[in-house]
Amino acid sequence: MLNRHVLTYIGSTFLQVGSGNFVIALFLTLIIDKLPFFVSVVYSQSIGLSICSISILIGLRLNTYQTNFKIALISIIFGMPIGLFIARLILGQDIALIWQEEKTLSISLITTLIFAPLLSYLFYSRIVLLELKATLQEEKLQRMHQEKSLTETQLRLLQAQIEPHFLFNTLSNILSLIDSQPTQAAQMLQRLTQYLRVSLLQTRQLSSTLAEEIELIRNYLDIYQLRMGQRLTYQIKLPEELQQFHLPPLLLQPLVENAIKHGLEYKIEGGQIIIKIIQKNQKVIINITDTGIGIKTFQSSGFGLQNIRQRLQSLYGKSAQLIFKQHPQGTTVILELPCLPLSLPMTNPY
Amino acid sequence: MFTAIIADDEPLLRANLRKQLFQLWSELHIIGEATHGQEALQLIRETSPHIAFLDIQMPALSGLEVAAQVQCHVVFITAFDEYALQAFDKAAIDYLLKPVELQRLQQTIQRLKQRLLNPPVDLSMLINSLNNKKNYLQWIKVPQGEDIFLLSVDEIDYFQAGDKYTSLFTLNKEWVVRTPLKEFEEQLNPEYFWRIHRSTIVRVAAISKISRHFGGNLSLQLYHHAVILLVSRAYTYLFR
Repeated sequence: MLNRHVLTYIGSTFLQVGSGNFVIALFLTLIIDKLPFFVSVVYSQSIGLSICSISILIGLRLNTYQTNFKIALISIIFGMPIGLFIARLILGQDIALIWQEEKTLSISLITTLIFAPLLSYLFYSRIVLLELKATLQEEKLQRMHQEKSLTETQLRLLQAQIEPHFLFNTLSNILSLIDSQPTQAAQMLQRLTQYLRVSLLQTRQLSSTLAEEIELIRNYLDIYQLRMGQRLTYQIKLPEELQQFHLPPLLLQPLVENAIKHGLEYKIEGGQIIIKIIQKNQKVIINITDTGIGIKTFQSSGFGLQNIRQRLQSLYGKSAQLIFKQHPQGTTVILELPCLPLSLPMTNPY
Repeated sequence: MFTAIIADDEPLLRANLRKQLFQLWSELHIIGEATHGQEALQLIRETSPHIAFLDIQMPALSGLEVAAQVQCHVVFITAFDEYALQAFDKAAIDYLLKPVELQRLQQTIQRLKQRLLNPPVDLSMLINSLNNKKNYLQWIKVPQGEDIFLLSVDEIDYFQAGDKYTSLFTLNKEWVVRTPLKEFEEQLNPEYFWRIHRSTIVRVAAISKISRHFGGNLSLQLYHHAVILLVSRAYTYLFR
């Protein structure tokens, strides 16, 4: 508890209270007749430092620097008699006689009551200022941390988006088409460009619409279709009224990628992907069905799915659901999102 | 004259490699193409080519799995396989990166011509070591009525053994399966899932608080669940 900062704090408080006490002593000597400066100093220092010590002790006990009204009052009530006692001890005056020296008593009482709250208030405001500064710094630090983790998530999302196998395989397809079928090569390159552009934009956005997400998926599936030839067909049904439905960006693409990777790519004869989006009971339900070989129980679910789950949970709590269902022809992923307008937090949504 | 086969599930890439090979090594006779691993294996067995160009990611069987079962000079083709490539470099195994560059292909051909003077190396040991990474359970099938649901283990917060069944608790639901807890314990990755009691396995990341009780007993609280899980004495060492 008594670390370097606390000790520095106590030291500086004593120094300042001590110098304040000198000012009080000087003031008292000037206004009171026949009061020797020395006596005045002893009195003011004893009383002032006693009050100060008590308030610091209480502060340490409660683990706070903040001098509030209660602490100040208790310190004054206990500190003043103790200070008087110490002063008389130092000056060699009879302690018992204090009750007869009405003048000393009343001067001490009045000065204490005037100056102690004043000094306490001074310290209090100084500490509040210091703490305010500290909070500001902490907030700044926290903001920096948030920005850092946001950037990291964006980067990881993007990495998941431009998966190296996908990218390099597509590029080699384009290269192999360039000489013999330049029109097709151009078509594939356009799709890839579009896909990368939308992906890059989406990673920087906090929210996206179903129309945008579906466009991304179309580009993605078109590229696969050009590559896999007859092996892949797809259908997307997005009702007009749901086009502008808001959802977190890049939520659907990993699910489609999953369907291709674990469902169709390994299936010799290829297959079909059907994406159907409907609204039912205040929920938007997105069904992604593939006719692939199905998910194997020991196959990794990858960063994509884990990330989707985390994002759903932090944005929608328990009201969103991601369900995988197996059927004789393949696998269906059902993503249920509540119809509420998506209120995005200002900070890291992931 | 030397013979070769090409196996890749993407038709354009097969055609392109064939063209590139013809450009640089016109004497090489491509005697067949395969569109997936199973077909490649069959083709190699039937035609016994000197060389097989095998894509690693293919349906049915991967290029690695094919290579482990055949006796010919193999050149792997891949878009991106960090771990495999490191192993290939170490063992001086030939591979091509997609998109295939002519210059690189030229180097590979030079090396192949050298290699063809010797019998092919047996790759099964190396490939088995590559494939030997232990796989942990990732998905759990839960039949319910006519449906079969697939739960990813990442979404299961804890497993609780009942009389005849095991309950799996996710964010929203309790799912019931017949698989005994012991079987889950053996198949789950012990880094992420801890057995903490005769009847409980918990996902470590789901733990929100560990409480120590008088007498040294431990109990756990989880995020999103009101339940308090007890830790048997035998498992308290996990939390030290």
